[in-house]
Formats: sequence, C-alpha cells, structure tokens
Amino acid sequence: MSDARVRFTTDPIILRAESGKLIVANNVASKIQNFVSTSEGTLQSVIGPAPLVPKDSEGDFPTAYGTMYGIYHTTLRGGAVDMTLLHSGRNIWHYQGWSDPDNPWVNIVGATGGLVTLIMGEPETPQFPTQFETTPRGVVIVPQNEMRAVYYDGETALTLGYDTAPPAPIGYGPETEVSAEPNRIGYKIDRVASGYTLHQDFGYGRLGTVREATSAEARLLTGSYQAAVQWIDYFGNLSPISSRSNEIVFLEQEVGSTGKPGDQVRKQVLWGTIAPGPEGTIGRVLSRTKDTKNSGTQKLFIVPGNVGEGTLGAFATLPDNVAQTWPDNVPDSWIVSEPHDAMAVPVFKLCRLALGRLWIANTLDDPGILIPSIPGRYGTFKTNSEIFPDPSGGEITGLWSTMGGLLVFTATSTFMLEPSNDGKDFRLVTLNANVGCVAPSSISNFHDGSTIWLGREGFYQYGNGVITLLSESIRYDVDRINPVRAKQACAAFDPETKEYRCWVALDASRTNNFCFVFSEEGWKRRTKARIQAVCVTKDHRHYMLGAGKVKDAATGDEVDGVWVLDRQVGNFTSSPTDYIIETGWITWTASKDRRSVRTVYLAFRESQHASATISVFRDWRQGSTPTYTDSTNVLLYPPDDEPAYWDEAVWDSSAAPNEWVKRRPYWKKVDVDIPSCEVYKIRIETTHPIEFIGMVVDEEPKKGGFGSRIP
Amino acid sequence: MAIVIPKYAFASGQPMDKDQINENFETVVEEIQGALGEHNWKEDAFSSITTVDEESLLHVYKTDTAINHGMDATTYPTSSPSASFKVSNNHEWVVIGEVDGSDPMEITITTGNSVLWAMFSFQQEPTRGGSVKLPGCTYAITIDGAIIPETIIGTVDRSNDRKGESVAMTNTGFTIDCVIPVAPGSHTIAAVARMVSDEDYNNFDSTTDFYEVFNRELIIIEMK
Repeated sequence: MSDARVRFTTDPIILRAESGKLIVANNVASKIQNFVSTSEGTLQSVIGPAPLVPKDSEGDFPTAYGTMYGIYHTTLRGGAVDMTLLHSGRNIWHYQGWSDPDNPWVNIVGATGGLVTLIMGEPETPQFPTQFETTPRGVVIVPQNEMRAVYYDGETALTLGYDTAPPAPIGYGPETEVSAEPNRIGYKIDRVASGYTLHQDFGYGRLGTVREATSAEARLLTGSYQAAVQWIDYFGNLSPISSRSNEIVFLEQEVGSTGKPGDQVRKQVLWGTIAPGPEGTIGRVLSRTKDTKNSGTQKLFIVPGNVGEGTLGAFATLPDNVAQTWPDNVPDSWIVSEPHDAMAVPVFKLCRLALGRLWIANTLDDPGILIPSIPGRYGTFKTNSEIFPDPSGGEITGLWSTMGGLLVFTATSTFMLEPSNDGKDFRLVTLNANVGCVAPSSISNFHDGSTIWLGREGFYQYGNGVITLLSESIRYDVDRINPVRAKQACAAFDPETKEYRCWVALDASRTNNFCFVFSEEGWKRRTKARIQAVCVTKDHRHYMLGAGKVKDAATGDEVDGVWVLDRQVGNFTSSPTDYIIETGWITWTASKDRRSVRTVYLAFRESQHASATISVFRDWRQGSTPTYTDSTNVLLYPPDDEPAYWDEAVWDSSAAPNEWVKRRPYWKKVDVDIPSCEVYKIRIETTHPIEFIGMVVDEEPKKGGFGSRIP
Repeated sequence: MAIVIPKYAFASGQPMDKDQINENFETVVEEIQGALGEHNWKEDAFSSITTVDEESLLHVYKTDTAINHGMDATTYPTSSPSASFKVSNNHEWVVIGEVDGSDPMEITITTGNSVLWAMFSFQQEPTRGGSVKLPGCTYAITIDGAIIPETIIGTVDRSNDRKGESVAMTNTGFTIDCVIPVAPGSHTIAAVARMVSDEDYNNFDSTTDFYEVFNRELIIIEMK
C-alpha cells in the first residue's frame, strides 16, 4: 500500500446530471441511467412501473393491447368525470376502473361496438401520437390516421362537428296563375277573400311588406323570401349553412275596399324538406331572409323557435331531428340574429385550446393551416377565419398554449399567436425563423412556466420571450434520434420529480426506446420502458401514465400495457433494469500528469441487502473489460450497522435493528488500484435498488522525477 | 376517490424506512378523506342494498291533495268540493293550493348540485254560469318563482293561436313535468295556474264562472 502522505483526496464528486462531451467537469457524469433526483438531494433508482390494469387472479393481464398511439387523462365537471383514454390498435378506449376486472376498458371509437364508428387502421409508419385536448365540456380526440376528430364527454361521443352541410330546404308560398288574381294558389295562407284560409282562431299572416297609406290603398308589395338550414349537435356544434332554398315570391296584391287592415294580405309560408342531420343532431336552426325586395338586406337571420320562450332563447328553431316541415309565421321584425357561418370540419392532425377557442391545424388539404373555433363551440369553425402562420405554407408541427397566447410551430420556425391590441382578433409574432418543433407530443411545460420541446437540432426551451437550445451538452446522444421517427416522440412533465421526460426512437429503433430526462440539475436518461405515449393525470395524484412495452420479470417477455411510472405493485415486477452511474473522464485538465487511483469512497444510502458492481476504466479506453471491476464489495447497506429489513423486522419494537427509522447514508470504501493513468472513469452498475449520494477518490500523483512522462 | 397505487412495493432485503411506509399510507388515507366513487368498488361488491342509504342517489319529495268530487260514470263532478282550488280570474299566475292558501302545491328543499325532476299531475274542471264561454286555463311549474316555459300547457302565443294558448277542457287530467339542473342551496318548486283572457278581454264573475283544480300531486325527484 502506498504511503498515505503522498495521497490526496479529490473534491466530492456529486453527480446529478450527465453530458455527452468528452471534456466535462468532475461533477458532471457521462451517464446517469434510470435514476431520479429525490427531494432530499440524492439520486434514487427508478422504481416500477406498475400496470394500470392489474393482472387477474390467474396471473394474466385481462386486456390484449394493440399498437399504442395515445394516452390521455383528464377530469371534467370539477372532477366528477375522471377520464383515462387510450388509443390502442384500432380502438379508442375509456378506462372504467376495476369494477369489472375482465373489461376494464370500454370501447368508445372503433369499427364496431363503439359509441362512434370509425374504421381506423393500425399503421406502423411514423406519425404523430394521437392528440387529445380538454375543453370545458369534453375532450377532443384526434387520431392521426386521416380520421375525423371525436368529441367525448365521458358519456356521449360524436365526431367533432359536421363535415357536410344539410341540403337546402324547399319553400312553399303563394303562387299566381296567369290571368288570375295574384297569390291565389299554392300555399296561400292569408285572410284574403272568401272565408279564411287561416282558421279564424289563428291570427294574421306576418310575412310580406305592406304599404298602407290608407286602408283603401293598402297593398302587399312584391317581395320574396329564402331560407337555409343548419344542423346542431348534442355538443352545440353547428354544421355549415345549407344552400339557400328556392325563392318564395309574393306578387303585389291589393287589400281592396274591405275595410280590413293591410295585415290581412300578409302570408304564412312553409319550409319543407328540412333534412334530419346525422347521428348526434338534436336540432335544426332555420335561417331566413327578410323580404329581400323591400328590407334592403339579403342576409340570413335565425328564425326563433317560438315566441313563448323569448325570441332568441331556444337553442334551435326545430329542437328535434325528426320534423321536416316548418310553418313560418315569424315576421321580419322578429329575426335579428345572424347565423354562424360555419365551415365543414376538416380532417386535422393537431389541436389546442387557447384564448377561449379550439385551434385546429395541419389539415389533410392544408398542412400549414390554423383555424380557430367559435368561442364555446369547439367543433364549429367560422368560414374565412383561417390563418397560415408560415408564409410559405410550411406544415404546422406543434401547438401549445402558453402564457400570453398560443405557440405555433413548423419544423423550422416558431410563432406566437396573441390577441390583437383591440382584443377582437389575433396577431402572429415570429419568435424564431430558424427553430421549430418536429414532434407535437414532445411539447410540455416545465415547472418554471417555460415550455420545452424537441426540434431538429435538439431540445429547446421557451421562456421570458427567448428560445434557447437546451440540449447542447447531450448533443452526442440527441444526434442519435432517428429523424424519421422523431415525430412520434412523446413527453410529459412530472410534477413530483420536476422532470421533463421525452421518449424518442434512438438509432434504428421503430419505437420510442430511450427517454431523455431534463430537470433543473441537467440531463439524465431512462431506458426502463418503451413508451409510445405518455400523460400525467390532471388530478391531485399526478401519476405519469405511459402506453408501451415493459418487460415482465415473470415471463421475460415484453408486454404491451398502460403503465403507472414510478409506482410499484405487488403482483407485477418488471425485469431488472440496469441502474448506471458513470463519471466523465477524470480529470482531463490534469491528464498531462499521470496519477494512480488508489481508493474510491462511495456515499450511498442503504437500499438493499445486496451489492453493486464498480468498474474503473483508464486512459480513454472503455472496452468490454474494465481495468478494475468488483461486484462483491460495493455493498448497498452498511455491514457494520445493518438496518431492519422487510420480512425480518418486528413490529412496534424500539430495539435496534428493529426500530423503524429513516434509512441512513454511509460510506463504502473500494480499493481500486489503477496505477499511472492519465484519466479514469468510474462506473457503478446494479439491478438492485440503489440511492447514490456522491463519491471521493484517493489519488496518488506521479510527480516529475517519479517516472511520469508525456507519451 | 381516484384509483390509488402506492409508490413502493417492499420486498425482502430492502431496509425498512418510515418515510416510505408513511408515503404509501398517506396516499390512501388522503384519498379516503375525500369520497369514494364507483371506481373503488368491485362489481357486485354490495350484495344487499340495505347497507346503502336509500337517498344516496335519489331523494323523492311530494305533496298531494285528494278531492272527493263525486264523479263517476254517470255523475258529473260536484262544483267546488272540499279542498278544491279555484283558479283566480284575474289572469295572473297563482300557486295552486287550497282556497285559504293552506296546503299549497309547493315544496321547498335543500339540494346539492343536483338535477330535479319535477312532475305535477292534476284534474281540471270548469264551472260556468249559463252560456258563458270561458277562456282556457293554463298551468306551469316554477322553480324559485321562475316559470319553466316548457311546462306551460298551451302555446303562449296568443296572437297567433288564440285557442291554442290554453286548454278549456272539462273533466280533464293533465301531467306536466320538467328536468332541470339546480345549484346547491334552497329551492322552492311550485305548481301555478292562470286563467287566460278571451278575445274580448271580458271579465268573468268568479262566483259563477271559474276553473277549479281537483285532485293534484306534485312530486320532486332530486337526482344527486
């Protein structure tokens, strides 16, 4: 053993973040794999995951999942509706809890048996994960395989809005025969001439413009009317307005010297062939012109459903989806409200709720389009309201609601959509013309209110009006992201550990096999599960749910499932994972002078009655055979002060070691003896639970005259 | 209560840690301090509903008045039998009750954030002196004094449908109802009646020309 007087001890090496750079400070690791930072400042091995749907009594999972495309959790109505949605295979499912262990998922969208029938494929080509967005009344679900979006409130699911307009209604009014008095045939509901064409108990007709200088000269002026119809669905969304009906024409008509007021020549008309709407339609909104020849306007106005409930109070003119005719005796003076001029809802890929509206983007026909909904009607989009943020029409690849507005991304640019100064419209501000986003589901808020996402060159952060590249230190690994599969990246922010986690497909992988983890301390990595979609529950639990593959320790097979990350349960154990902490090359700045590495002191917190493996590499060579390795002495417990263990400890005992206390930290000394090296790297690896605090190393420098040389 | 998955599944060889044990318990205990929901019970967990509060889902309130009006297959009903309610001739909405105002068709309840199903069933009988042509009578349900428009019998559109404004039938039974969400607090649900005007706005002698409400029942189901 060397003389302790010529040794010196390094500063504490407190590894909490990693870097892919060759030259890093001693406190920066080259790899921290499958660890989380604890609230007490240590690094703890990742636990779990636990299956959301537990195995049954026979040890089998009750659900056979397909390809995972999306997962989402939200609550509605103040938490009364708790919704976990999963897009797996050709169906979208709603989690029903454990009340029926054999059928924990209810089919809401699929080819058969769902609330909405959509024949979805199961493509494995790169695509965005299924998008979800919560609105005050329900959730918008956007499958990516060229399917229409679905709106779901926990009980009712419908395709979002309408993609077609109703057919035009047909108008029936008075007709005029040649050589006969005007308006005497057809649907001539008035009170003129012989008897009543309206029953005496009914009032006068109300349509038509009457000139009434004196009663003797009172006459109906030539006029005309047209109508159109809109469907309205269960969620209040409106279809496009139909084409206008045929024109109902009133010819000029004298009242005559009957002594009756001019009102008697006004008419009622009838609108027929008002088509019922598709499933989900609960009413039809009938709109009509005022007398187009006398009112001075050709616009359509909503015809109120009745007069008893207020002219504008009812949700639709026809509050049903059955009737096809509408006797119209609503005068021009009662129609004041114009209908919403809605467009057919396109097939789109992205949506986000911001500024009181649902913004949809990247439609089948226009990848660069951005369209706002009408406030409160999240499936109704006004015609001619579309925006093209990128002047060149670049595909929109991300939307994110953030402080002050909506972040809009293309692959190569970033915009902020804000309310205009007068608050009536919107304006687009270009935040960066060179930085964009490639994966819409990689966007997530960080705990400081900033936003992080995956761009072409790595991870970016937007905060305080500035976009910064966040991942330069790990560019070595970021460059391994499969660019073809980058669009399927998924991310979420874990409020518990304050980590941003983004799963990506690395190298030639077709699935997301690697997780970049960012926290205040820097970057770490996870490899424990292959997660295709991820979300955090929007309730107090803040569970991170991942849809993907985990290896089952019981069978050794990878199983598809929905996983609660960082949680453990008794009836499922995932296959052991490699927990790895690897220092950088220590220390490049002093590498021109060789030194010997004598002893490594590892600071752990007791975590398992087992040991880890320590490996030491030297001089930039990290081969399959380390210079030093030891898998027996790196104990994960203090041998001279062992704790109480599960299955051994006695309940309610204050005598050591049975007293239940917090786990203690301790030092573990390992004599590694690496002689005369330029640089060295220490790697700690285990499949057991481990909690790492830090390390120090005893080095023995080789001073000049002791044989050190620069090779 | 949401589904809770404790953080740690302890195994042999792991050191005891009171913080981890407490963390596991706390997640469950904190949830139970809230409320249990359907997610928390297995199918058929309750073998008998005797263990479930009868009013946990629905609460039924009712008030009714029975009238012996003497009508049968051969006999017209008696005019103004005991406890019948004479609708006012002043054309304004009044709460249906006994003549002296007691025993009104009115229920005051305290609810949570609930949906109320209000149902009012009753019999109508007019009394006319001679050849007087009575206008119709109409009825509605009110919540906190506000009439629920869709419960009104008739079109309410006097100018366009004079007879359709109300009903003038004799010996007739009706039921009106509505389902309406209410905010937490105290709510008063009542059944009201009003005699409408005729075409000429004539006055009618309330001692000889009037409508009466005979048997009647107001039922409220609070759906929690």
